[in-house]
Amino acid sequence: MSHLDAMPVPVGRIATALHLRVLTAALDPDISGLIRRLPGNVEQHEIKVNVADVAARQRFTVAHEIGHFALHRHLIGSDGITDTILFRSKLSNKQEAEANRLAASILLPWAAVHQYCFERFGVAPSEENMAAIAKAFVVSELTVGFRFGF
Amino acid sequence: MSEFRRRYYPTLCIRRAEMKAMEKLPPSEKAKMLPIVLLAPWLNSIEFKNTFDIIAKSVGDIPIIVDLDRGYRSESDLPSRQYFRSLLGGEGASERWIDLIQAHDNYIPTVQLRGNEDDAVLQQIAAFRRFGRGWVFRVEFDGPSELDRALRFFDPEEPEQQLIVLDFGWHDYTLEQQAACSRIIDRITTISDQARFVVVSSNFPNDFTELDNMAPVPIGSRRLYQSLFSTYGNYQMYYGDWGSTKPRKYDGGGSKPLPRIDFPTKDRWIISRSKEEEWDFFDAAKRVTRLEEWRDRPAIWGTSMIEKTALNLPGAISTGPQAIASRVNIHLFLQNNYAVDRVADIPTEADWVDPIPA
Repeated sequence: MSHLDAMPVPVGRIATALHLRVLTAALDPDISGLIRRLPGNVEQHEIKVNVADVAARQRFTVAHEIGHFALHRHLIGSDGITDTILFRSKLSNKQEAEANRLAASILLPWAAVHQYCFERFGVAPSEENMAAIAKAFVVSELTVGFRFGF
Repeated sequence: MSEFRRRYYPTLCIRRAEMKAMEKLPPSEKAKMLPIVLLAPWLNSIEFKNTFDIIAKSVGDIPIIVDLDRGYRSESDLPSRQYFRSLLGGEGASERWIDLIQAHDNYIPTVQLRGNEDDAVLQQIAAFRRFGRGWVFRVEFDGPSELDRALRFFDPEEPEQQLIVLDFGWHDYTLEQQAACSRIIDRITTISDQARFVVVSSNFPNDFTELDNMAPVPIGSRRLYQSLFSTYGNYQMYYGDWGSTKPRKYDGGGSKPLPRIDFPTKDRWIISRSKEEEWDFFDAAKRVTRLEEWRDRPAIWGTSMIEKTALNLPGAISTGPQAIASRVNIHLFLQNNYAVDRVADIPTEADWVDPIPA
């Protein structure tokens, strides 16, 4: 998918390409987002993100819900999967961790981040340039650390 | 169809709080109102183009009325400041203003009276008539007003194409203000009983020393409008305010304000702060969420931010500007839906926009 070559990765367009509608909503403050199957339509799913979250957080939430859609679609009912701010839900910790890993991979493609770091700093991604990577890819530093194990 | 109809007309400066508050309103809400945006350089921008960019980001591409923020002050010689000053008056100011309007399809112009001779004003009106978006006479009463000139240029033959904005600036509601406003409206309606006009003011407090421990402040602009409505409600009179902010000349000064959360309702602001008990944002937000009025809150960004703060969650309000943006966001929503009984039931979900550069 060509969207994965772009920088920052247009996660909204990835959702659209997967026929996922993404909405902002005033969710409970301890909820980051959710994905659910629309009632009466087994094919159509929607993602909601918390309107009060900052941009990088909302992008991670969308990527995380895409992760659930790709990996755990069979578990998404019309009541959906609701993720807390710690990305905990009715799914197991293992499944949440899988969605987190896929989300980080979507937002921070290995090759694209390496290319960015070599071109900009002449070195591989490291803790020293974590802030710059986060800014360039519109993610949190936490996500960068999680992706590259800093 | 003319954009000048019964709707909410908030006046917004190019400041962080207003821009953030507008950005976070659902698009369906923005489409219902007609903001009056006072152009000025955006923060420390070198180019004035950043002002247009922040408006596009915050307000979107809905129609907006634009005027120049004549309360903006800067000694800087940055190109953005030089350009701004060149619009305020003097040779070529009128032409530059016309060019600026022409370059932005969604901008509805105010006629620049100050700093321009009659010929230049007529040239503006001729151009704005060609553009076909209508035109606005915005008259400020914070100093010497241009009311007489505005009424001289008002064309009673085309009332639907023109709007008169009567801006009383920072002013508490008084009977004297109501009487003064009535006299002005009488003049306008004598010229044309079809004239469209907006009554704008703000009484958001400058000083909070007397406003401790959940003090309520009645919204003066609403009181003024309601008091005029019994007399002029069957004319084309519309409500406007400063979105719970104030003209720029009242900005800043004094010591760093105490942490404070202001919770707007339709007719008053409730000021949550305590000097004596040294509340922080968490304490102030917690008190707001215990108010009876909190139960009828709209489901929007501003209330979500207060809720997050009351629960001490990451990303909560931790600075004055964030608290102000939350207040403005809620105030705009409530005034935009003043006639709706249960604002909590208004749908506010909207398509998410990926916040990355296009």
